Amino acid sequence: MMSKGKLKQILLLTDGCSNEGTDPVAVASLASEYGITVNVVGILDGRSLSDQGMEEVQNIARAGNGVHQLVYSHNLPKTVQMVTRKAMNQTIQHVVNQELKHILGEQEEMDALPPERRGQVVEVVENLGETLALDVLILVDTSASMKHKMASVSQALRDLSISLQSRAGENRFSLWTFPGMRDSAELKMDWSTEFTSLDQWLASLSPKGTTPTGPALEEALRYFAGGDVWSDQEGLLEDNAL
Amino acid sequence: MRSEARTIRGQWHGRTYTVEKELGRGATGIVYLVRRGNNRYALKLGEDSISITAEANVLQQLGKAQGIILGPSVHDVDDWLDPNTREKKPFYVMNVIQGTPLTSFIQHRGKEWIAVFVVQLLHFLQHLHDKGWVFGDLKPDNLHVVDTPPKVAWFDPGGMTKMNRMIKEYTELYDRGYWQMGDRKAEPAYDLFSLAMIVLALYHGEFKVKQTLNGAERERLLQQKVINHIPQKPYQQVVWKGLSGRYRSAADMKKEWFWAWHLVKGGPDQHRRHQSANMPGRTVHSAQAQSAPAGHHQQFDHQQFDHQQFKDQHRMSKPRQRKKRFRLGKAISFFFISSFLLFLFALLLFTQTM
Ligand SMILES: Nc1ncnc2c1ncn2[C@@H]1O[C@H](COP(=O)(O)OP(=O)(O)O)[C@@H](O)[C@H]1O
Ligand SMILES: [Mg+2]
Repeated sequence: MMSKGKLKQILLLTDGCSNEGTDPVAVASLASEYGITVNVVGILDGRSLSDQGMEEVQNIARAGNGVHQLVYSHNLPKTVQMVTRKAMNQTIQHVVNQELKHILGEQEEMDALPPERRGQVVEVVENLGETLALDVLILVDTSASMKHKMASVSQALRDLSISLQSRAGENRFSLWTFPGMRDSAELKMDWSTEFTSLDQWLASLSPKGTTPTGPALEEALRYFAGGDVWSDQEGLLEDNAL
Repeated sequence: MRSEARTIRGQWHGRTYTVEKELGRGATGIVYLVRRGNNRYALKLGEDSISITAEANVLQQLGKAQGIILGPSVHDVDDWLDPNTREKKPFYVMNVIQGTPLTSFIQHRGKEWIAVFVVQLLHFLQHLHDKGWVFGDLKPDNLHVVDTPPKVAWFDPGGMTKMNRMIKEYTELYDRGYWQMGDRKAEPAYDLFSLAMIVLALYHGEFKVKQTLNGAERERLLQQKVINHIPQKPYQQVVWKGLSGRYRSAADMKKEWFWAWHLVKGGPDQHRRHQSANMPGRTVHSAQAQSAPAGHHQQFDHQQFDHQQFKDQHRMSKPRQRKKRFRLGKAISFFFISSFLLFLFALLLFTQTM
């Protein structure tokens, strides 16, 4: 069952608080119901993120069954890689835990196993993490405040693709930025196995001052489903092997 | 640690450890010096059961490879219920690796020790790779020097990755992916890059790179640093080969490191001959030299550093030996002939007196 599965992640890179449209936490909850995890990297500058911003970063990731991390932009490359790997392991562990419940009874999770027996579970998790196919949709906040962080962002994404290409499993990336010219988010790169002309895409910052994180996540989720989630649920569920 | 949390008791095996002090902290947990009975241990307390279990796993599987070079081995793996947070925290217990951090050892005892530790580490890597593991996060922070005679020891199994997988943990400066000089696939050359970088960092000190540098610029920067900061030409060559991924195995690098050491320590005339043949300025590829500002394109001539060169060096010393033996042979035959003549002379005298 796992061998056919695919890990699906949305990776949100933002430096602030959403201020327009739907609540991003609600969208993240919905995504996780469809087996898509939402991970968030909150980028700090000299001054730190507002408490409100920090809380939102945390809540989106929690609701999205994902991982979150706050980071200064110069540490971005390593963090993005780590968040992605951790999120993969977490998702797989979640699935393995479900399986364990099946085998061992309702209460059994990995932590309920004696330490001697966890080794095998971890090996399974790591094997799957290495071999499962992975789709990462990257959603980058390009509101004005992100301007001087863009060099780090593109470095981080290039770095992420170096890491993921070293896996045995297949990877696909897609790049979105928000806010978009017309819509809340804009597709910059369709699913592909590596990043090309990143700098060019990330250089085009949005003139708008808003941060419509929620609507942008909706857009991403819809795209992930390969159509309109709300009208074509079947297609998504079928795809969703995990 | 608050005062009420000075002991850590495992939920599964029931062993109690008294915390004495913090030894260090890293990405996956905090390492404490602990006591149990009369024994001292290092205890790594983490948050995430997967990474702690994975690390303990690696250490247990490596158990048999120990002895090559000192590293942690596991005594206990368990969970502890933190009374402050009511959270269950996984931990494992290992032997304490005492000693001096590699960098400060070199600062105090001199750079000549670098060559010694490089050989020890290559020997260790050779065994590790043979067992199917790649170290991953190889860096001075994870290396200490213990005992007399000084031996290098390692900790931090967090980066240990099975061959051909994605490296689990790394540190930018020592990661070839960061330098855009290769991917993060676990293979011997990945560790050999880190080791070469360690050598450079021990001569140079740790350094940072501007994020905006592209791949070619990074490579050139590294090359400049190797040329400017490693004083011995033969070591430069090996380090550069390690950085550019041209050793397939630790054994290959170990062999060439020995030759390099031989050249550095060898007779003064040999050393000089080697240097003048390889001065970076002379080996600039002419096409590149023309297309770039001077000083920027010092290149290593890779062909010059190969086995042949070393063999030539060795051959050079052989004829001299042969000559010596030849002279010795002459002396011996001279001795025999003259003693034979002396004998004849004595015989003649003898017969005449008869
Ligand atoms: N067995 C040990 N003996 C003594 N000190 C240790 C031991 N293991 C770790 N340490 C100390 O703790 C620090 C952090 O441990 P490490 O395992 O490297 O953590 P991380 O994997 O999170 O980087 C090390 O740099 C070292 O100083
Ligand atoms: Mg460490």
